Formats: sequence, structure tokens, C-alpha cells
Amino acid sequence: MKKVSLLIVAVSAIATVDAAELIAKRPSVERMAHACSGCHGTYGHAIAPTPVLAGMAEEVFVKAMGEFKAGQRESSIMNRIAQAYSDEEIVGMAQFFKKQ
Amino acid sequence: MSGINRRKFLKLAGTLGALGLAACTTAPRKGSKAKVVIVGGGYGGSTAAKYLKLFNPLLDVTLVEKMKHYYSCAGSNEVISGWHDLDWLLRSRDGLQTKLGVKLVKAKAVEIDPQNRLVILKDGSELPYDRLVLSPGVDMRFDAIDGYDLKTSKFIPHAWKAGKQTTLLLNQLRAMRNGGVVIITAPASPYRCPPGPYERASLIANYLKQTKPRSKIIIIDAKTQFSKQELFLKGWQDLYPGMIEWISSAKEGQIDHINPTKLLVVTEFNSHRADVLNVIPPQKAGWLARKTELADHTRWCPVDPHSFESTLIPNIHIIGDACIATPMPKSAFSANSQAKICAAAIVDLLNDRQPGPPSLINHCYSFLAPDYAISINGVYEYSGTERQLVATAGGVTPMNADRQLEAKFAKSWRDNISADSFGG
Ligand SMILES: Cc1cc2nc3c(=O)[nH]c(=O)nc-3n(C[C@H](O)[C@H](O)[C@H](O)COP(=O)(O)OP(=O)(O)OC[C@H]3O[C@@H](n4cnc5c(N)ncnc54)[C@H](O)[C@@H]3O)c2cc1C
Repeated sequence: MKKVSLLIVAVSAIATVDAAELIAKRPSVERMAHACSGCHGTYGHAIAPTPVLAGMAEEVFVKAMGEFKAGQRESSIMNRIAQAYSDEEIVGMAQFFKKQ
Repeated sequence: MSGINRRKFLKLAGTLGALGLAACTTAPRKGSKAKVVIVGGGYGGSTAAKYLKLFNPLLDVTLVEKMKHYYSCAGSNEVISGWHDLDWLLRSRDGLQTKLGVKLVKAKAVEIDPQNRLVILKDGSELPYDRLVLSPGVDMRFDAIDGYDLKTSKFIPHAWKAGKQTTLLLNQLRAMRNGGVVIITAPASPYRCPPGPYERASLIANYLKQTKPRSKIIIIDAKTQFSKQELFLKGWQDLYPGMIEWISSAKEGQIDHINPTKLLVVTEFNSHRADVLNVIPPQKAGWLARKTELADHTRWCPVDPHSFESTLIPNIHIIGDACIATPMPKSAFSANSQAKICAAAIVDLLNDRQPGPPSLINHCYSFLAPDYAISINGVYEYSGTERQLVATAGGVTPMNADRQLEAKFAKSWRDNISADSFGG
């Protein structure tokens, strides 16, 4: 029993290191978020009718992006874009825009 | 020392420096003390100036632009179709100065001295830089099509730079008879705005359908396929049946020559006479970039996508249409996105940090009618295995999607990209 749980601890430690390394190879959340401003305005301060992302509640952003990504919410534009980001990256961008 | 002599002296000193004989170059300034100069105040250069100041308000940022007025190419097809006046395309950069403290200099940059890190302006004055950003856009290749040169372009417009050329094409269309033939020639890739020629054909058809419905538009293409092809073909069938004919190079080969007096386009297998002729020639990186030997054999400038720094000359970054950012298209959206990656990387480099991986987006709308638009987009990252950018997501408007909704967002995009690129 003990052996097994030790093994699990060891494996998960390795997994954490791998994930951290992977994240370091990913673009920063800031770099991702600034690419959005081509449509959604500087720091997410869009001119209507394009949705304003600045100050948007985290859950609202995460839910919308998740649904766009999964194709549950239809948008001829965002369905194509949301696919590019992992769930963690979406949370990161949500936190970035919330603060603006 | 006169300007010229001093410049010669600096050049010599630079060469000696490169040979390791003498080091005239001043030590690069770091962090907030650094000077960044940007040449070209279009979509790329203006965005770079703005975001450099947003990322570090203490940076000394100077934006050099030769033209008094900047007319946006994005939107210019809508002016040709008569939906807006030319002035609707004007973009002011004043806010970059008044709100963000970017120094705006109206002058032509005529030379770059990479050894001594200087930009030399037309009046001989010199701007020192620690990092230089070039976003000079494109030049037309007036040597590429037999019979079409700078002189001919004064009466046979390319209208691929907005302003006088836009008005010239517009006026010719206004003066054309009902039943006339408009010919647009489209170049091989890569060129500024891949879907642009087809949007133009659509919007000219939109104008002609209302005013001169017996007229026709022929696109003579150097390619065998084009951006958003299926969507355009479907739109033409629905909106302008029988008005637009697209001729692939698979059918007629390349253009052999143009007869400018007879408005004839002669291809390898055929010849076409136009009432209004719009030649969109192949293009190349803007003059200053080529003069500084920042372009390779393709006539475009190779860069590292992490920073958009030239792979040929250090401390010079090239963004926008002039750079090679394959597979990103040459668009205002791409230029804007590249400018932000470049600005973030410059701030990193000035603080001795290695720039992290880039993330970019392009999203290009095309109008086919005021309430009918389609789009193509992509999200881009760097691939270590491919050693270039790759698209990690994106695509075109689904066939069954709401074109009216896309038109609504296409209009909104114009406002937002303009504010994000030029507004302080
Ligand atoms: C018909 C048409 C429609 C288009 N529609 C769209 C669209 O819907 N969406 C989209 O995203 N893109 C569109 N584009 C493409 C877009 O306009 C360009 O990709 C964009 O302008 C590129 O930006 P840039 O900064 O590289 O160059 P530019 O915007 O051309 O800016 C370059 C600037 O540098 C200045 N300059 C050059 N050399 C010097 C020098 N030596 N000294 C000082 N100043 C200098 C020039 O005067 C110019 O102002 C369209 C283009 C055309 C032709």
C-alpha cells in the first residue's frame, strides 16, 4: 500500500514538473490577450457592438469561451478562434481582462 | 562637419568598428533610458509606438512618417463602391503624442546606419536608436508586368495604396458606360491583403448592379485558387449572377503584357479589352527595408517571430506587410498583432530578458454587399519543429453562417482596429 502511494506521489511530482516546463514553453497570457484587442479594443475596451472584455466577470468569460470552443454556443467567428486555447489559458485570459 | 561628411565619417567609423579596429558605437542604453525609433506610421508602426508606451511609459519612442495624411487601405474598397468618401479612410495618430507621449516626426527616413544605430532623415538630421522598428509597408513592382510601370499607373490605377489611386479608380468607374468591362488583374502570392482583389470585384459589382447593370467584371488571376474562394463564388452567384468572371491562370496562363493605350490585357492564350483597367501588380517590401539590405531574395524581410527582429541585421525589427511571417497574411490585423509581440519583445530585450513565445491573431473580413460579409481567421504560435509560425486554430466563415451578422462585426472591426492602432 505504502509503496503504491509513494509511487503515486513520485509520479505526480514528475507530472507537475512537466506541466510547469510545458507552461514555460507556452506564450504568456498577456501576449495571448493583447492579440484579442485587434477586435475587442485595447485591454478589452471595445467599441460596441463588439463585446467589451475589460472588467468582464471571470465566470462569464470562461463559460463563453468554453462553449465557443466546444461548439455549444454558435458564433461564426469565435468558434474558430477559441479552439486555439487550453482551458487554463482561457482562465488566465479571464483573469487578465477582469482586472482591466 | 557637414551632414554628408559626418555621415560618411560615421559609415567609415562603423565599418572600422565592424572590423574590430575601432569602436565608435555608443554603448546601448538599457531599460527605460533606451531610445526606440519607429519608421512608418501605418497599422504596424502606429500600433508598435502605442504599445511600447503602454508597456513602458518611460521609454523614449519616436515615430517617423513621411506622409501628412494616412489613408487606410482597409475600407478603401468600400470607398470605391461609393459607400463612403475618401476622407472616411483618414486615420489620425495625434492621440499617440497627446495622450501617450510618442514623439511624432513628419519626415522621410532616407538611410539607416546599423553600425552606429542611426536613422537619417531627408534633411540630414539623425535619430539615434537602441532598437529600431520598421513598418514601411509595400512597394509595387513596376518591373514585373510588361507594359505597366509607375507612369502608366497614373492612368491605369492599382489602387493598392489608398488615397489618390483610390479616387482615380472610383472616377473611372463613375465615368464608364453601362455595359462596360472592368478588368482586375490579381497577383501571385504573397501580396498585401490576399482577399482584397475579390472583395474589390464584389463591391464594384455592387455599384455597377445599381447604376450600370449591363456591365461586367473580369478578374485575371496569376493564381489557380484564392482566399475564401468558395464563399466568394457562392456570394457572387447569389448577389451578382453573371456579372463577375474569374479567370484562373490554369486556364489562360500568366499575363504576357499590357497594352496601356488600348487597355488590353494579353495573357499567354488570350487577350481582353477593358473599359476600366485595375492592375494590382506583385509587390515587395518598402524601399527603406530593401535599401538597408533587410530583405532576402524574395524581396521580403526575414525575421524571428519571437521578436520580429531581423535575422540579417541586429537591433532592427520589421513588422507588417514588409516582413515574412508565413503563414500569416499581409493584413492590417496581422501588422497590429505583430506590433504588439514586437513591442513586448523589445521591452524584454531592453531589460536583458529573452522574449517568450509569441501568440498572434489575424482576422480578415471581406464585404460582398453592405449587409453581407465573410471572413477568414487564424491564431498563430511558434513551432520549434517547423521553425516558423503555425496556425493552431482558425478557418473561414461556415457556409451556412449569418452573413449579415458578419457584416455587423466587420463594420465594428474597422472602429476597433483603428482605435487600437492609432488612438492614444
Ligand atoms: C484594397 C485593400 C483592402 C484592404 N483591406 C484590409 C482589411 O479589410 N483588413 C485588413 O486587415 N487589412 C486590409 N488591407 C491590408 C492593410 O491595409 C495592410 O496590410 C496594412 O496597411 C499593412 O500595414 P503596414 O504598417 O505594414 O504598412 P502601411 O499601412 O502601408 O504603412 C506604412 C507606412 O510607412 C510609411 N513609410 C514608408 N517608408 C517610409 C520612410 N522611408 N520614411 C517615413 N515613412 C515611411 C508610409 O508612408 C506608410 O504610411 C487592405 C489592403 C488593400 C490594398
